[in-house]
Amino acid sequence: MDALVIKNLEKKFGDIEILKTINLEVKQGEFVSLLGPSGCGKTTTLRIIAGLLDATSGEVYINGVNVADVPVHKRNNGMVFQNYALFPHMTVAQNIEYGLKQHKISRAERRKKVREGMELVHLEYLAGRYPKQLSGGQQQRVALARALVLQPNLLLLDEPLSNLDARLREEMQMEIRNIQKKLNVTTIFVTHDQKEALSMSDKVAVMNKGIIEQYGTPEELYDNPKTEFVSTFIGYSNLIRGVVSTKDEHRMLLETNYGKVQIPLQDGLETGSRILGLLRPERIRLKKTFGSDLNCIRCTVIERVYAGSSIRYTVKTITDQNVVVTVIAPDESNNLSVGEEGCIQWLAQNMNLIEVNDEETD
Amino acid sequence: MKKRILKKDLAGKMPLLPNIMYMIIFFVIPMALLISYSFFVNKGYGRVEHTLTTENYINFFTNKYYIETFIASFIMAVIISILAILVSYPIAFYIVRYKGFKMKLASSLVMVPMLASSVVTCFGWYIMLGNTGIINSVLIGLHMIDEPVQLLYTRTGVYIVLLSGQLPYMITSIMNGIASIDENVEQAANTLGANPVKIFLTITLPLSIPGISAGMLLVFTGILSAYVVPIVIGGGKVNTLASLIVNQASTTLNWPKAAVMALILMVMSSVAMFLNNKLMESKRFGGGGR
Ligand SMILES: Nc1ncnc2c1ncn2[C@@H]1O[C@H](COP(=O)(O)OP(=O)(O)O)[C@@H](O)[C@H]1O
Ligand SMILES: [Mg+2]
Repeated sequence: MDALVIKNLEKKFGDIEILKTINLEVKQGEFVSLLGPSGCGKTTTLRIIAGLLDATSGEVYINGVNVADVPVHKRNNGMVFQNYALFPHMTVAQNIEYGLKQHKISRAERRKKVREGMELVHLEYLAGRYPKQLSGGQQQRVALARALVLQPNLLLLDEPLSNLDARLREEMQMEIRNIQKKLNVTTIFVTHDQKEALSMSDKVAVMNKGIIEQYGTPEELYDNPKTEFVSTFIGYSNLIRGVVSTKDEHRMLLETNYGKVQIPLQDGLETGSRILGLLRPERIRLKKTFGSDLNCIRCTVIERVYAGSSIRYTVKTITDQNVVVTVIAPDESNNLSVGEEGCIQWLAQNMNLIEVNDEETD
Repeated sequence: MKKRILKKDLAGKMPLLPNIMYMIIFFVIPMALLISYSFFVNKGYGRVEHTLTTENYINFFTNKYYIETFIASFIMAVIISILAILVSYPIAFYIVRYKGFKMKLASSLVMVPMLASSVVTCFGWYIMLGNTGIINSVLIGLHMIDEPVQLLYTRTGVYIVLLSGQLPYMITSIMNGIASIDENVEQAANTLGANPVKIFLTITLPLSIPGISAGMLLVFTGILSAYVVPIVIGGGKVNTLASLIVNQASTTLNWPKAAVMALILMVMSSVAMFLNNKLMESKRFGGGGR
């Protein structure tokens, strides 16, 4: 049984539709990120799961139970807020104990669990401190321990790391993931940082303007983005736009903004279909020589950033398009200088083709 | 060596000079005068003999009538502070938490009484509290009482009017206190299993204490120095420390005695302020202490 199922969730604030048919399935013990730009509805989704907001329509099932009529305080979800929301008038130990008290757990048992909670996040030595006396990272840990001592159904984290400096953030990413695995707690992690989402999650739901554009493993999202938004929000993609101009039994010829490109036959594409090709910079080959190769697009280097193990080029095609190319482990044949001419090439299977409708391209 | 540090210190404090002058002219000198007068010998008609004596203090503390008035003033200030909290908290809570146009209107209405002078509001109350005033008329009209209740020239009347005058200060202070509570903190308690009543008792109320305490300080010191209301509504039958002071200073013209009473009043207000500051400094309310 799935730990969390969201079905056709919709949320309106007044007349404004903030969430439009959100669907999501999360298995027990999975770590799932909601990833998207600010304002896309991540917090709203999380709050509806927690019960702090009511959905306009749609259902939320936690461990198979429709929680529509279950009030917040009976859902047993551990939530960590963006600003931590610790109880300022209670010590670290009292903060962690708070939920246990509400659940009427015996004093001896509470003591044991508070100690375990503090050990889990390495805060034993701060038990008597008040939140005001803690650093951001320490407050973060208290919030985490406070949510976890209840052995919640779901751990809900709303951009918990966005207020920490870069080094601490990386440390906490590792730690949160380790704790999550150790306790095997199903986790929904909200973030706008794609690197964070990719490195921490079992699965990522990429959100944009109130919908989930794509839901999959980090690898699926990176290697096989299904929409233009996903391909540009996660990593960098070069965008090739064009139409299928001719087609025979084996291949199709595309007229694109990069020039003519020939690809093997693909299902669903007819002559006249408009396409969008998504191409990762490291999947493009840059060569000094340009023979009579088909699919070899002539270009000039206009920018070159050397980074030791790789070189990042920006090249301009003869059709006047800028293309970003990352050359990994550069050698003599592909080490070009600015102003030098060359050609770019890629394997057809490395270009993600999406058919676009006229409406979508505006 | 020491001198140089001193000089440097002084130079650094130069920008504070206007403030220091202000404090000297408007606080230090009057205080010094007040304190010295309290130790001078009274010669009547506002005159004093410049010989030091503790007689004025002994006089005050051995006079049963003064001590009773002093205690009554203190008790009145405490009771009205507590009543003000009980009345103001729900009002402040609703104004802060239930937003919208009506609440904006309500929060500005709360301020209106602060604009009128206490003499004006006092005479308004004077008319309302009389035996044929609106309060008695309504109560009789509703058959809740048969005879008019004596409110003017009674302690009850003074309490009612003083309380109503202090409500705006208490409501505003508590509103500030409640508005500064992070609602995420209450929601965190909610997700941790606390129902709305528990949230209020364990989170909202404790976190309102700084606002309540600030309001209590304002009301307490305000009541201690209240003078118009006890005289007009109490009609000379309800004496307070402040009215005693005015009596001694402007009628009996015993300035040393007035000085002793004024100092006692100041000490009480200062203690209240000190306690309030101690509370605000405490770590749990976000104060300085490490
Ligand atoms: N209570 C509310 N009333 C009206 N609009 C809201 C409310 N809460 C959030 N919104 C709007 O909903 C959108 C999504 O908000 P949110 O879920 O917080 O985004 P995210 O967490 O992805 O940054 C935003 O445009 C925000 O302005
Ligand atoms: Mg958010």
